Amino acid sequence: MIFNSNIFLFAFFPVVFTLFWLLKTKEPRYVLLALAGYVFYGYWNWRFCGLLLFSSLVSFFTGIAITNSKTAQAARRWVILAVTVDLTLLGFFKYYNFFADSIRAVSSTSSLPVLQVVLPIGISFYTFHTISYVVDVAAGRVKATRKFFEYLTYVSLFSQLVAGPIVRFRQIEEDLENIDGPPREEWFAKGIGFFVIGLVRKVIIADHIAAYINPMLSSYSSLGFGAAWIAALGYTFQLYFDFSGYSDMAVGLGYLFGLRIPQNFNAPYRALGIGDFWRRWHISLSTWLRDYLYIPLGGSKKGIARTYCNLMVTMLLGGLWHGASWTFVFWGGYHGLLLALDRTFQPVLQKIPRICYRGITFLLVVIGWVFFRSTDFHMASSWLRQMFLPTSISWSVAPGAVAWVICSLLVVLFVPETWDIRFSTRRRWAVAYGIAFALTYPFINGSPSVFLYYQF
Amino acid sequence: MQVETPLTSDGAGTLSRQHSSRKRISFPVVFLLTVSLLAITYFALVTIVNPYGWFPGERFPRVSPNTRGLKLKLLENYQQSGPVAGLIMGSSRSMKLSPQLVQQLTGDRTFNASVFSGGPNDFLAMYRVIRQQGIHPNTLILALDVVCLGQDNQPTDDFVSNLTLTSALEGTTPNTARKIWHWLELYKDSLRPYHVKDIVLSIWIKLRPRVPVHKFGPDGLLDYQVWDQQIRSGTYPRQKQLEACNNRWIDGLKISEPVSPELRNDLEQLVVETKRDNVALVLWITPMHPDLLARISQEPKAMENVKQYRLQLLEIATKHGLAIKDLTDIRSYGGHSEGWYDCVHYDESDAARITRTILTP
Repeated sequence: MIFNSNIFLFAFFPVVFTLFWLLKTKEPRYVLLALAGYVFYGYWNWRFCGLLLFSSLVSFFTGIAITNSKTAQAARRWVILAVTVDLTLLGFFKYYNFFADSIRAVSSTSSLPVLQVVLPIGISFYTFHTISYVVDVAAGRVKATRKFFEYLTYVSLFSQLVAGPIVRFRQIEEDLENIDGPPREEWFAKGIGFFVIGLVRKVIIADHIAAYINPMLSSYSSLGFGAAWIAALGYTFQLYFDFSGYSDMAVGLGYLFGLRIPQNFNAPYRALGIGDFWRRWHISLSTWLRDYLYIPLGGSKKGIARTYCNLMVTMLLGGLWHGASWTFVFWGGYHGLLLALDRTFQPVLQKIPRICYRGITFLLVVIGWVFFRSTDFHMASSWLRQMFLPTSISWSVAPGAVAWVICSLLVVLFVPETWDIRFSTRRRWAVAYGIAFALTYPFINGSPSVFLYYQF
Repeated sequence: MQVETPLTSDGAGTLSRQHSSRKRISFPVVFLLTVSLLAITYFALVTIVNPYGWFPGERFPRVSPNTRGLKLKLLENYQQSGPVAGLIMGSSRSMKLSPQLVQQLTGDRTFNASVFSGGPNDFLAMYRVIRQQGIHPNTLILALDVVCLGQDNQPTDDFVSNLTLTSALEGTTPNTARKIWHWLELYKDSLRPYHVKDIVLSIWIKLRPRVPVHKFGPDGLLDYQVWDQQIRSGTYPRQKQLEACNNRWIDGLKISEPVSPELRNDLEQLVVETKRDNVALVLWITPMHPDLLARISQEPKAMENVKQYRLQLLEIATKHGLAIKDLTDIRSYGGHSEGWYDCVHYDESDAARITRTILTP
């Protein structure tokens, strides 16, 4: 089920929302939200609900076991067990065939069979939820909950189950504890505001860009110079508005149920440097990687060489997290390298005029997205060749695509991020959101497009 | 970073307790009321303007003729002035076949029931509806576009919006609940950008009337009144139309889908039912402009797709012991390419040649 579908907008959400506010106490609300998460998830493929439940059960009981452990060593063993189970599931469903293919490519004697494995949607996200919970309990950053349905609500909360943001238990614990609170006008205003703005970003901007970009990239070998650049820029904006739109909708839904979901984007294309970019792009993932991978590896505390090595490992795995493909790994490595360079040359880079630094950062990010979007290296190299080493300069490109790219650039540069808006509870804004929703709806009616990050 | 925007004009924190309490749950209510009010207004507008003829409104012109509904209505009227014994079915590519000429050749009073983008599902459903209306044709001239069985040739909006036809295809009689559901679905389906755009266009045409491109006579015969007028005045952009049509077809044929089992089944079922009803079925494949055929021959993928579609049609005819006349190449009926409107729509003179060819044993 996706947020921009009729079944979600006119059946699932109204029913869950109404029931939630009719129920007055904590436990029934937990049960309702947990069940709603499973219905939401099972609508795609009910068979994988078992996997979601299994993963939740393992981390829930591990949390209790860690709390009950008498020694740090015992607690550590429980953490290793839970993380191993989670990563094994993720590794099997998401990466088994990738590694089997890769091994077969380098070793003809490999007997690893390729299996018909269906990738459970959202597994990358809920696995990170459960891992962060277990690690945080072991580190004493969060107290293990003994309320089973509270925990299920956290893992299977439909607003962030399939494509994030990756929420830590400690970030949402307070709101989960106070879930029996009364409805708040200002949170409703925020919820509706975030949701409608996210819907507009996704449906009006991202989907319209996609309508131009996707056909261009389906025949990438025939892209001319201008078309290659417009495709790269178009995808840059499509991905941003698609994912940040989704994140806004998730945050909005959270507010409508009294849960504050953290910020996932903060004007990433206005970043000054790659380090700054990663503090603004998919914040919940980059901070997760920082806290649960980069810092445990030693972070920047063990010398320059080790710092760069840690950066590279973190970004390579971050790339692989996005998908089982070498292009994602390369994209991660590319950003790892840029982060290392950004760190090394920071004194020099600080002297560059801000507008140039911002422009260079943006250009480097755009080049990275070429690898991210490409299905293989042949596509990426062909696309980049047309951008930087064209055999002839052809400006032939649909005017609509150019117009959307320019409009998107203006929005990115001059329109405030959704999080920068202080949402008013005045009725005229409810009317404005109502009009915006009504104007957006015809574009999704009957043919809602899936969010790009659902594939991860 | 917290920036000032118009939305910051009245923060929640500035509300007095009394004010806050009074407005406690007003925000979502106002939001829902706004959406509901806009939806109701739109539904009223779409009912009145009715650009596709889905709803009862008759005051505004149709942006695109709903040929399925229109032809059924015309046939009902035509039947009242005398029994119909001959039917022509097909897509827009058989709309120029003259019922009068057919009557001259067969003696059957004929109606042209061809509809835009007509496919086997339309033919079967319309045949059943026509039979339900008490019409028992002696002859059914069935024009098949070579791509009519393609999987991408899905039921059109005109078909889906017509409960009579969809029920006839399913072989059911709609009850009240089904009718209500159908209306609700129509209203939901009307909430699309092109529908909104065509509401505006319909109002515009009402304000600044113009001659519609398509006009149908009482016997269902199409008159391209605007194009014919342009041809007479020498302003018809034939070459441009031909080129655009060629490109569209080549692009479509290159990515055409395999044969749809449902559409093939509909066509075979029609053959079975006409046989059962002792209707003489005249099957033929519609022609293409020589330029388009030349372009197809240069595109291996398009060529292969056309070949496969054609084989399927021939196989169905053979299976049911029927003859089928393949007029894809205009030389097969002695056609002339000069008078065509585009790469698949021919003029009256070629229509007459085709009619004589298909009705000659």
